[in-house]
Formats: sequence, C-alpha cells, structure tokens
Amino acid sequence: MVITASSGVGTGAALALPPHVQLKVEDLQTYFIQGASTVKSVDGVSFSLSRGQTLAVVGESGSGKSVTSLTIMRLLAHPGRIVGGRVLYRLRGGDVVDLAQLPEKRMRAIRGREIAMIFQEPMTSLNPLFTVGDQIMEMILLHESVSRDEARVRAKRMLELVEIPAPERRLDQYPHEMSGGMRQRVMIALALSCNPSLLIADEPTTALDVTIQAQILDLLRRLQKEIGMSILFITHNLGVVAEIAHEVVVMYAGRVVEQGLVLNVFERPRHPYTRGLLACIPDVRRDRTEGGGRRLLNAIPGNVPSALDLPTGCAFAPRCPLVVDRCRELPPLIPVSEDHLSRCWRYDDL
Amino acid sequence: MTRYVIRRFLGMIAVMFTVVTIVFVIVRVAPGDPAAVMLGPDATAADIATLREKLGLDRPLILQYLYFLGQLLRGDLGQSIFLNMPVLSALAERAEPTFFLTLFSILIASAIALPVGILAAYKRGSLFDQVATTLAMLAASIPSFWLGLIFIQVFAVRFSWFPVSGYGGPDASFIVRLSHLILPATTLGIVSSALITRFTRASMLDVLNDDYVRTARSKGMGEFQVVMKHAFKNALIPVLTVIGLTAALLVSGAVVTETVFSLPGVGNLVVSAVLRRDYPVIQGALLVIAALYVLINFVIDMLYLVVDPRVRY
Repeated sequence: MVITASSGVGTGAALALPPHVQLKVEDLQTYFIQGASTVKSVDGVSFSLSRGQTLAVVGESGSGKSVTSLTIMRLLAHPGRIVGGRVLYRLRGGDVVDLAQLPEKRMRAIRGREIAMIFQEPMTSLNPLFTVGDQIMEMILLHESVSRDEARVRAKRMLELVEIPAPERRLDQYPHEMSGGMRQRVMIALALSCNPSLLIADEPTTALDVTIQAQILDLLRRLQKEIGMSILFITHNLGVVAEIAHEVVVMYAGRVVEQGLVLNVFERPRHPYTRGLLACIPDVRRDRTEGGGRRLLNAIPGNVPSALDLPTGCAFAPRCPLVVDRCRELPPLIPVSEDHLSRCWRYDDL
Repeated sequence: MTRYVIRRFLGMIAVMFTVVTIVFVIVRVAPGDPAAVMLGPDATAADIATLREKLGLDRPLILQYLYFLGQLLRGDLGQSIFLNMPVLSALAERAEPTFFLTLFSILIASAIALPVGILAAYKRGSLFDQVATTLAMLAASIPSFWLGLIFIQVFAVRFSWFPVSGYGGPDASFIVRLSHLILPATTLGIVSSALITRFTRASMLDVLNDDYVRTARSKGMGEFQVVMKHAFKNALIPVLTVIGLTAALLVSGAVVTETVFSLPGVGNLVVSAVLRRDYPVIQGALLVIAALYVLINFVIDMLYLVVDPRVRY
C-alpha cells in the first residue's frame, strides 16, 4: 500500500501508476462555487486504492466523502467543480488516465463499464417505470455490442450471481415488487454487469435493516473475491469498515484527518475524531432496538462545522477533548508509523 | 389491472349518471315553463297545456325522470325546437369541426409545450428558461378570441394564407375543411401550451434530481437518453393529467373560438341554442360535452396504466 501525503505532486509528467494500483487520488479539490461563496467540500484529499482491495472512506454527512466519490465519477451537480488535483485511474487495457481532465465523452465510456457505482437508497435508485431486467440489460447494451437476447441471458446470470431466487421471473418484475435488500442486490447486479475494475459503493447498506446489511456486505466480499474488482466504500459506520475494508481514510470537513490500514487505525487511532468514532461503534443488538447508526455521531459532542464557516486551523478543534493552542494552526498529515497518517499535533498522546 | 379498468369504467358510469340527473334537475327548476317559452308570449293557455301534455310535462317529476332516462338509453336526446331535427343529429353534424379543432389544438400545444418545458427544466435558471417561463405566462394571459382576431387579421386578411372563417361549406373536401382549422387550432394551441409548459417544467425539475436519474448517468448513458428515457417518462404522469384536462376544457371552451372563426361546431350550436332557448339542444349539448369530459378522463386514466407499472390497484 502506498500512502501519499497531500500536495507535492508533480504535474506534466507522463501518467503512470505502480502496477498494483487501480486508483490514485492526488490532492483533490472539489469546490462548490456560487457567487461569492465557496464551499470547499473536498480540500486536498489523497489516497490510493490497490487492485482487488477495499478502501473505506469514513466521515459524517458533510465531511466530503460522497462528493469525493461523485468527483471520481465526474457526476458532480452544479455548481460543484474540480478545482485542483488528479484522479489517476488504470483502464482495463493498462493505460492510466486522469479522470479529472477527461472529456465528458470518454468519461461516459468509463462510467458503468470501468467504474460502476451503487448508492445509499435502493428504494429510489432504480427507475420505477422499467423492469429490473430492462435496467440491467440497458447497461450491458450500452457498453457492449451484444444482442438483446444475449443481454437478457447475461442479466439473468447477474441476478443469479447476487443470489436472487427465481431470476428468470425477477427479470420481468418492477422495482416496487421487491424489498429494499432485494433492490440493493439488483443494484449490485446492475453495477457489476460489465465487469468493472472499480466499484464505488456510496453507503450501500445505510438504508437497510441490520440483518440485510450483513448479507449485502457478505455478498460484496464474495463478489470481490470472485471478480477481483477494487471497492471504494463510502460509509459513516466504522463497524462496517472493520468488516469489509483493508484500508481506511477518515474525513472531516473536507479533509483527511487520518488514514492507514484498518488494523492499525482500529488498534490505535491517532486522531481524536477517529477515536471518538471508534468509541461508539454500535453493538448490533442495541443498534437494532434503537434504530440506527445515527446515534453513533451524537456521541461526539458538538456538530460538524458549517462548510461556509470553517474554523482556522484544525476543523475538529471546537469539538476536540485534547485541543491545545497549537490547534489554531492546521496540522499536516503526519506519518505516525508505517502506512499510517494523522492530521493531529498530539498524535503521540493518543 | 382488470380491476383497475373495471373500477375506472364503473366510476365513469356513476359520474355520467350524476351528470344526467343534474342536467334533468337544472332544466326543470330553471324559471319559466319550457312550453310557455317555446310557444312565445302570444300562446293561449290551451296551447300551452296541449304542448305540456305532448312533452310529458304534466306527469309527476319522477315519471318524467324515468322517461328521460329511458330515452337517453335509446340514444334519443329529443327534438330540436328550431332546427327541426333530432338533437342527436344536430350534434353529430357539428361534432367533426369541434373534434378536429380539439385534437389539433392539443397536438400543437403539446408540440410547443413538451420540448420547451423539458429544456427549460434541464437548463434551469438559464436565459432560455427565463424567456420560456415569461412567454408561457404571457401566453396564459392572452384571451383566445383576441389572439384569434389578430391571426385572422395577419394571416388570413393581410397575407391570405388561410381562410378567414367558416368550414368550407357543405361540399368542401376534407383537406379544405382542415385548412379552415389551422388558424383556430394554432390559436387554441398557443394559449393552452402555457399551462402544459409550466407543468412539464415543474414535473421535470422534480424528477431530474431523483436517484434513478443519477443511476442512469452512472451507467455511462448520454444526457439526451438520460433526460428523455429516464427522467421524462417519470415526469409524464402529471403532464398527461394536464393535457387531458386541457383537452376537456377545449371541448367546452371552443365556444368562443368557434364563434370568432365562425366554425359550425358544437360550441357554435350551443351559443345559438342558448340565444333561441332551444332547451332540448342545450340539454343534449350539455350531456355530450360532459360525456366527452368524462371520456377524456377515462382515456387519461388508461394512459397512466400504460406509463406507470405501479398503477395496478
């Protein structure tokens, strides 16, 4: 695994990635600029994701984790735009491209085929007016020159792959005839139907029942082993991270505050925010009765600061139990041990 | 699905029955004795009594009502007092211009409103959106008779591109008859397009932010397909409703336009019947217009079924 600290990335050099790397985000800056106000949703984020591995991006809502994933897909809504940085991606043929610079037309050929995405809301992510089969076949027909019959056979095979019973019958059903967990399976089948090298999963289990969550995570793990794709897993739930990811990036107010191997970060978090998140990983039984991981975030006193009015220095300082005067100065990402970075002056006190 | 169709159909029958009853009651409670009105101020009491007996007006109300229903079921709307023909034939004769006028108006209105509404929503806040929204407001506030007169003045009188008025006379070919409809249909089309444009825009704005639109983009689909296939089809349901209501309004509202363009349609017939107190014709026309209204709504309900698989109750 390679971890790069933000900034200091050369430009103009020929695009290249180490052979094991699938995706490398370098000093990415995505801002929402409307008139005089600028929201720095993603401000200097860097990470890299190896082939066949899972990287989790963790943070509360407003941390910039979803904007990061939409930036990679280049699906930002107006007025969001990439202000700086690179998104290096290895195509199937082996070539490396910078997704941040790619013209929209080439980007369209990559979406769905090279990089696929699943979303938080399985209830609304599928179009209610088309059958499940049509929606999967549409993806296949879009990227590959196969006949409709062939696409249908492929779609059916995809439903089998995600363990949907009676796939032939399900192909002709509409989304409203299925449960939430079933629809998320369909979304996964849809996303994987063109064998993408990278799957971006934006909170794919958040809207689901805890038992269904576990099933979907199992399924993703199994499919990753079988297909070998890399997964960029966006979540606010550290409990899920422990189950699925190899590496973790913790984001707060648009910046990375800690990143490293899941093992290291969980064993000894080096940022008070990560420690706070870890301190309240919900117990499965308690979580089911009280209805959700949202409570998790309340365990850290205070709220995420408004992106329009960030404190100078460390953005977490107002909520931090370890805050000192020096926190008015923004810490860089400090290497605290091998493959482990923390954006906290007091990483050694943790 | 069959249940949905049956329920809508029974609903339609129930509404028609109510309309028939209301029409019957209105005509009976309206001031003045129809027989006296028909015969005019010089009629003797004996004349009026004879006519009342002939029309069945001397019988108890409930019997009159049952007789009225029986006639309707046999397709008999009564006899026009002035036209000297059955009301049904009079209406049938006038149905063609009204039908085609409504049809063309709706087609023109949709041809303007759908693309403009979709594009305005897609480019929300742009110059195009602002101009389109303003024009739609303007079109909605133009009275159709005024626009009709302007069109006659410019395109029929000044440039002689289209006939000024009428329906080409009894021997005119179908093409000639239709050429008489171009100006009035354009007039009604433009005026009606305003509401449909606004609904299309609003409905598209709703769906363009929906998750499945994002899913479609994440598949690598082009914007045109994303908007037309995934967004527009979802936006269509409220739009269909408005198009249906507009069509129904056109049927009843064609009265004014038909008068301006001297089209011998149902609207024109109603106007002359009201002026001459031709009660059976008014009554029949009311029923036919109401029936068309209900029928259009039924067709729209059936279209929901085609568009939206969730409509199955």
